[in-house]
Amino acid sequence: MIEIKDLHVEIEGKEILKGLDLTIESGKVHAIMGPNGSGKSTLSNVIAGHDAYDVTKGSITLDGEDVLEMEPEERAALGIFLAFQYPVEIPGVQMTTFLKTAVNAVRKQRGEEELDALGLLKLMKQKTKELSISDDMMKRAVNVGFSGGEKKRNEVLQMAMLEPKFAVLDETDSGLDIDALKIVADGVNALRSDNRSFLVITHYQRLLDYIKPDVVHVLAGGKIIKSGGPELAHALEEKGYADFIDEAA
Amino acid sequence: MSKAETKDNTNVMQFPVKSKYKPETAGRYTAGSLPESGVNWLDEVRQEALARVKKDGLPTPRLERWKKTNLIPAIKDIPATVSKCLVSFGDNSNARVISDLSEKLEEDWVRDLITAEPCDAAQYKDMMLWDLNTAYLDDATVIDVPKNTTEDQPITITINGESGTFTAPRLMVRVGSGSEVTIIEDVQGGGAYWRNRVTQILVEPNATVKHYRTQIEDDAAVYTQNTYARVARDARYETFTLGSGGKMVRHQIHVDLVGENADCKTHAVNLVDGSDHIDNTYTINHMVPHCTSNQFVRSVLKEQGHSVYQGKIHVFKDAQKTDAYQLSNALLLSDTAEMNVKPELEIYADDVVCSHGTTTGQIDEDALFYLRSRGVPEKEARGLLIQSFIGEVLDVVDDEDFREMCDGEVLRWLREA
Repeated sequence: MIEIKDLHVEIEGKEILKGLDLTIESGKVHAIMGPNGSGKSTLSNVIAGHDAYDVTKGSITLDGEDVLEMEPEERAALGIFLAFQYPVEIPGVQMTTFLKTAVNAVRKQRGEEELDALGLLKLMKQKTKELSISDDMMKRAVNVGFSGGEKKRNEVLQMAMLEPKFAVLDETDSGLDIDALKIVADGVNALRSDNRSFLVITHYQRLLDYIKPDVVHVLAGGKIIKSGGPELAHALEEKGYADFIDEAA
Repeated sequence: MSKAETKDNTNVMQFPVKSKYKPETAGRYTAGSLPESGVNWLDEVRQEALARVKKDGLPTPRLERWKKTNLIPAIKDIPATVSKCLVSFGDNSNARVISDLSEKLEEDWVRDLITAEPCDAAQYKDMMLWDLNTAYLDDATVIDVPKNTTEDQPITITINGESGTFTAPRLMVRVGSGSEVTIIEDVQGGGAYWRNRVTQILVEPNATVKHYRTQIEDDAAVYTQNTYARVARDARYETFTLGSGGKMVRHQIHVDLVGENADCKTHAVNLVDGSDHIDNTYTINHMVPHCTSNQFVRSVLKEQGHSVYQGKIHVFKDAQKTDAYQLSNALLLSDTAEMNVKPELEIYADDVVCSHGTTTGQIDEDALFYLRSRGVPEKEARGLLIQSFIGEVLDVVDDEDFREMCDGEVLRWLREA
């Protein structure tokens, strides 16, 4: 269970999140929708541990463990995963090297035995097949020359290999056509389980047709201003954010 | 009287009058006696070289090509008497092609090569250290690969020197038409010494020479090397240098592309820490049409490390259809490290493709965060990014053992970071 309480976050002295509360039980999928500048990306970066953000107040815990005190790599080992809105290109680092390094770094920190080359290859083969990722893509440098869809599939691949307890999908639908969106959503749905929770951050209700959330929240002005069932996403799509923000104000 | 002249002269700022360039005297190095070979022409070559050293002295930062590399303070405490250096060959090296200079003195090509100078080197004042090597020419190795032979195993030369010595090793290589060889120079050591090397390589038509070297030293060593390759038609010369450490290091490479379709690659990786200084100064002369050249240098600097890259491409008037490229990228891991880059294109032909590029930057913080968010600890993530940065140059090396040696040194360097 991930619990975020009264979270206040600043970047360069400007307060972006102004007392955000959010609790996601294990096995549940929550969605956060909100207009530009509402603090969606700030929230995902703070959860992953980006050091450009200052947490001035509040707490984030995963299964009772204080996340805010941890380095990004420790959070990953604990079971937090962020699927980046803009996955980073790393020239010169081959995909397989990257995945091997990440999987074993996490296993080592979790006190699990590191996988040997063969074990990793087997795991990779299985996961890439499920996500329609070509062998050619695995031979390239991380995200270099990848299409938008390939980058997002790569994020889901990493998620599948690192087996997090809590995954944040930051605008995973941006830049995807409908076919790519289906592949990515299928990949995510395959990972849904009772001991894993998700936070899906998106502008559009479309993604939520494929990854069906249990709860939808509206984020505006650095706070969650409304929560409800999946029907809330449809209402937002019809009316726009303005009505909700006015209503909350 | 014009207005200007009425002005009070004392208020006019004047440029200081430039004093005439005075070379650093090489007195310490010219006082001793030269080795005696008993071969008249060789003794004459030495005497002439010594006379030039006396006249021209040693390079100082007053020379354009030595602006950022100050050799003089670095050699101050090292004795100036020449010592023998220890040269040995790898077990797999083909001994039949390796000789001592004394066995080869009768061969014309050796005589010619001893006095061969790179095109325009004297004009660039690049011969000073070279002459100093020639004056004390004694420790010399000759490698002569006959025509149409492929050496399956690399010829590996290890050069060691004792602390407190000044040595002048020379290597002369001829690779016959249609032959292929890999030459590995492994220079390692610890201590305060100055190795002033000259390596000359003749690449005959349609031959291929891969010339790899490591230069791994501790922070008291001074290392200067003049490498000269003359590349004939349809021949390829490819060199890669891993420079790691050294108080004052200068890798100077001249390549003369003298036959059509000749190709050269001059690549390097530099690992510079502490107060080390590594300088790569390359001159590629495209003297005839249809030749290609490529320079690719990547440097990683930390602490007060200082590195210099000067890459000159000179395209002669007749060298149409030249294709020449140079690229230098540096990664600065500290605020106090310094990288100086001077790309230079001098082009007299009108139908050529020449370009250069240079970047100096820090570790990509976004990439670092991305790796860490996937569970990779910070130090390991930095190491991976540095390795990948260097790896793009190292990938040119196609000798597995040498590559392993380089990877090992990179890992050792990273562990100390």
